[in-house]
Amino acid sequence: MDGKSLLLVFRRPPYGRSLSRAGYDLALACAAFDQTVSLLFMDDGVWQLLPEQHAERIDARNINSTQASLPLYDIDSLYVDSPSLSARGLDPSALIGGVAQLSEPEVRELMASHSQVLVF
Amino acid sequence: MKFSLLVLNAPGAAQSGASALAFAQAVVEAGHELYRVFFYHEGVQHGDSLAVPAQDELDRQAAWAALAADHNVDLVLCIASAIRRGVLDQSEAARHGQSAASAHPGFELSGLGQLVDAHLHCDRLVTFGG
Repeated sequence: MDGKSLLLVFRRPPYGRSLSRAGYDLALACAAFDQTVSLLFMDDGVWQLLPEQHAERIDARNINSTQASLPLYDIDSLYVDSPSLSARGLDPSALIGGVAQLSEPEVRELMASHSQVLVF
Repeated sequence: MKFSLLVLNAPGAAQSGASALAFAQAVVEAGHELYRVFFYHEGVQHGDSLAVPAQDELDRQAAWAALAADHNVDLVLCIASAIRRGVLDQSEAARHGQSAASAHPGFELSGLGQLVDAHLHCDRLVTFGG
């Protein structure tokens, strides 16, 4: 294609509102149209990366199962903003696998390297 | 420059809907091309023709439709978001056995591919709400 790339930034906690779901749906649509897409989790969006979420207890769809389907769509560029983790007392080892940790300057670099950035 | 907009919030729920319309009008007034406005998530309620705005409020839906007609702008409602929120065109109403269609005829129901296409074909894709 024409070398365009899309970065989806997830900044909200996984449940309570369905906005993050809209972000994942867009990621899958991009993959279906053979577009490069990367996912960055920052601020409260880092809560989405915790494993063993029991969404069924609040009658919600488990976000972990959506994440598990990403590799099937060749979406394997997942990043997390390290300062957001430390601000919430989260240990990187507690997260689901396959997510690269980025420092603040690396996050800036990631955003600059994509042609579009959309926030969910 | 070629612009597309992504609108994420319902018209009455957030200032972002008004900002999106004002931005869209400014884009065409400045001589740029507005390629598509994609209404996603709660933003699809912009296309609900059964909603009745208060008398002292601007009818923003009419303003969107006028802008689209005057400047050949694509107004697209994400079909999955829309049918979940009761915004159906004739064919979706028939498909799902619902009693009425509610989508404004100036808006088209289509898939997320239209947003991917806007990303590919525009210099700027600007998000409102979230």
